[in-house]
Order: sequence, then C-alpha cells, then structure tokens
Amino acid sequence: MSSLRLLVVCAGTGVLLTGLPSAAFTLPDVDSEASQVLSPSVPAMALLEGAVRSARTRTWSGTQHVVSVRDGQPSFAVLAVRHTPGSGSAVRLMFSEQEALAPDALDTRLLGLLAGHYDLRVAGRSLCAGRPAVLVEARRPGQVGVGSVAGRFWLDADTGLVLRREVHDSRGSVIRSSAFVDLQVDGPVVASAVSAAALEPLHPTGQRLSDDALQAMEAQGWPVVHQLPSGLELFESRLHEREGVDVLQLSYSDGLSTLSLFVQEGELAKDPEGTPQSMGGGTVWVGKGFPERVVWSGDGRTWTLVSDAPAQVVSDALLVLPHRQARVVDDGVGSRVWRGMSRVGSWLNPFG
Amino acid sequence: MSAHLGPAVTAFVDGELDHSRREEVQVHLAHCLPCRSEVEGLRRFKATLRGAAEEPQVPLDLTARLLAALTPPSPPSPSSLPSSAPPPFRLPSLLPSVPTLSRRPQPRPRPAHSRLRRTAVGGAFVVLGLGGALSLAGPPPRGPVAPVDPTSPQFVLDHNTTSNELPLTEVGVVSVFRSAP
Repeated sequence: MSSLRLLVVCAGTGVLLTGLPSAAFTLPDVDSEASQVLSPSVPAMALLEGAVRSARTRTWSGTQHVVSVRDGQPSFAVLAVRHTPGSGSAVRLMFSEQEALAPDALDTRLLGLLAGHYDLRVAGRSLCAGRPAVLVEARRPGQVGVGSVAGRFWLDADTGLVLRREVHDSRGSVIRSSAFVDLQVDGPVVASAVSAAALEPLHPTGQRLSDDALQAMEAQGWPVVHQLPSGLELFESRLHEREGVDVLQLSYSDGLSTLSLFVQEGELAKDPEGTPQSMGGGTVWVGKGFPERVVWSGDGRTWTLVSDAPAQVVSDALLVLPHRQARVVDDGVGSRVWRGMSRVGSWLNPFG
Repeated sequence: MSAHLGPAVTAFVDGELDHSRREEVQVHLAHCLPCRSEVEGLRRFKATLRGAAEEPQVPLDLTARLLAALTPPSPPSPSSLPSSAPPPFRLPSLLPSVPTLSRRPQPRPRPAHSRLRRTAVGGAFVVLGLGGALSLAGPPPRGPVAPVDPTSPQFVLDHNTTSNELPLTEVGVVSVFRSAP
C-alpha cells in the first residue's frame, strides 16, 4: 500500500525510480523509530526535485501560515497565495492590502546546495492540510539526537507540492515554518486566495555578475568571500548602483537558509538604527524584525548582512568577515588639542 | 592546508594580509571552529585594549583655567593681610639640620615685576602651544562615509528576491513584528 502510494507520487511528479528495492519504499509513520533506519537519500532528492517541477506546472491556491522565530519571539503572518505556472505566486498578506507577485520558494539551484550539505531521507508519512503527505528530512551530517534535523518538508502525496516546510536550529528549535492551512490544486480558486494576479513580478534588481565579472571586481579590490562557516556557499553575486555608487551583493546558502552581504565603500558616519551588540568579536548594529539585519564597518567599508539563518550561523559568518569597532570621533576642543599634540609628538618620535 | 592558522590569525584580525592570503585564511576559517574561536578571542582582546586606550577626556574648562592661570595675581598690599596671618610656608624651615640645604645660599628676594615677566613668558608659551595644537589638529580622522543607508529596506527586498523566497512573506512578518509593543 505504501509502495503504491509512493509510486503514485513519483508518477505524479514525473520522477522515474527504477532498480530500487521495494522494501526501501515502505514508509513508516512519522513517530515510528523505524524512520531512523530509512535513508533512501536518492528517492528523497528525487521527491524534492519533483516538488519543484510540480510547482512549475500546476496551478494552485490556498492559505498559508508563516511563522518566524527570532530570539525566542515568534512572529506570524497569514498569506493568501495563488500560483500560476509561468507567472509565479501572487501573495496577499491577510488583513492587509499588501500584495506582491513572488517567484517560487523552491529553486533548483538551492536544491543542489541542500543535497550537498545535508543528508536527505524519507522519514515517513503524515497528514498535512488534510492531505496525505510524505515527510522528507534534511539532517546534519554526523549528528544524532536533538539538533540533528535541520529541515523538514511535507510533500503532497498526490501532486508532490510542498505542503509544509520547517527549518530547525542546532538546538532543535523551529526558527521558520510555512504551512498550508487549505490548498486547492488545479481547481477553482479558494475564497481566501488573492484575486488580482496582474501584479508586477518582484525580480531581483541590479546586475547579475558572471564568474569572470566577479573575478574582475576582486582584482579591483572588492572583498569577495566564497565560503562562509556552517556550509554557506556563494551562489550568486549582483552589483547594484544606488545613489551613484556601487553596492556589491554576495548571496550565500546551504540549501535551507540564505545570507546576503551588501558591501559598499565608506564607513558608518554615525551609529545606525538598531541595537549595538558584540558579535563576531566586535560591535555590530542589529536591526529589529525578520530577517536578521546586521550592520558594521570593517576594512574601510560598510557591511550589511541580511539573513534568515539561525543566530549561530550569522555569528560564525561575522568572524570570517573584516571587522573593526566603529568609533565616532568627538571633535571637541579637548579632542582637537590632544590630536594636535599627538601629531607634534609623532614628529619628535624618532621611532614613529 | 595546515592544521591551524597560527600567527596568520593576528595578521588577519589586523587586516595585514594581502588579497590571496586573506582568501586562504577565510576559506580555512569557514571550516575550522578552533581558529574562528581564536579570531573572536583576539578581536575581543583588541576591543578591550582599544576601550582602555581611549583618548583622555580633557576637561572642557582646561583652556579657561590655563588662561586664568596666566593672569598674574595682584600682589596683596601689606595692609590687606591680617596681622594674625601665619607666616608663609618655607621648606627650609622644616629641614634646618640638613647640611646640604643649610649650605645653600639663601635666594635673594626677587622683585615683583620679575615674577610677573616670567609668568607672562610662560603663559605665552602655553597659549602658543595650545593654539599650535589646535591649528595642527586638522580635520577629525574620519574615513569616507558610506553613501547608501545600510538599513534601507531595499536590502531586505534584494535579499528575498535573490534568495527566491516569498518577499511579501518576510516583509509582512517584519511589519507585524515592528508593530508589536
């Protein structure tokens, strides 16, 4: 029965699985201990690839519940989503007039990073939004017990669509979660779904840099870090022109979380909005809300970090990046006298 | 790749590595927790030293007090001193038995206009020193300022669209979070 169910899933998502023992497709219940011994990583990856393909070919609408947790404080949002293949997902924030046309959440590039950094396995079956679902887990390699699960995906058994998605930190706490409350696939739009889909899609701005262009920027002295701790790899770079100056964007991901660095010439003129904190061995300013925003000065530049990654991942990334404690100069009479005397002293110092 | 960075940690924290070596160190740090811990510890140590070596806070009334010190005090007239006032404090009077002091010739009393001249000359040097220091201070040592507001919401939007996330989801959550008390 379970094998048949998964075969239906595979057929529905266009995934061809041959030459695999049928016993590998016996899906236990989610809470079963037997799920620990099932590690058919290839089928799990194939299921996720099928989910991406299904998201690009099927029309659906529904209501999605999104939770983000930061510093132990959750924030919630309820979204009405209507997806049309080729157009993207029209999203409306419930109880609000805000609307946008967004690209699909799962991207094949990020899927490759996911497979490269985590052990993917089919962990069982469950019900999600009233629909039979297959649970796929992304586990941290070499870890067992609490904190070993980095992410979970509930895939619709009938269509392969992602019904629910969770990201866990290293302590096992959920830091991001999105789940459909109701979902209508290839049918009439549900009442709560956004009605106006004629929106301008929100494409990334700036100029995407090729590998050669990025190397040329590096040769000009722009700091380009290709790898960050916790398995974050540079997967895209963009060059923005804002207010007549260049801002380099470097985007990293491990397949589950993303982190963007924005680098611009010049240091902070004053304390930016946010809370000063000691992170990565220096002082940074952390903004409110989600995703996390961190601003600091280092190496004659101003760095802006935006990330949905766990706090420890952000803190580790800050250690690798240039950093110095920003200081605003007090230019009062005393400070100027001291500076002038120091200058005279430097002239008289034979070792200076 | 060597086991750990060793002295390169200090050079990395001080920003003294060239481009290629810095990239090697960053790649190593991406995978090496002990070296990251060493970087963090060194940065904290330097931050502590920097905090301890902040420029001394010169009192704002220093100049006023220095200028006030230049003004020669008007010599009190003998009639203004109370007759019961104690005699001026003299160090030799406390050490009458020290031979070296006792053999020194007693300084001749200097006239008042001589002390005034020395005070004026000394004060002129102080004023010239302060004025020179002020003129030599130059502009505050502040590097180029970042022209784009680093807290601009556009950075969040760029992050979301590039990451292929649902941008309204994140923006909506941010709005909800910010409206919370």
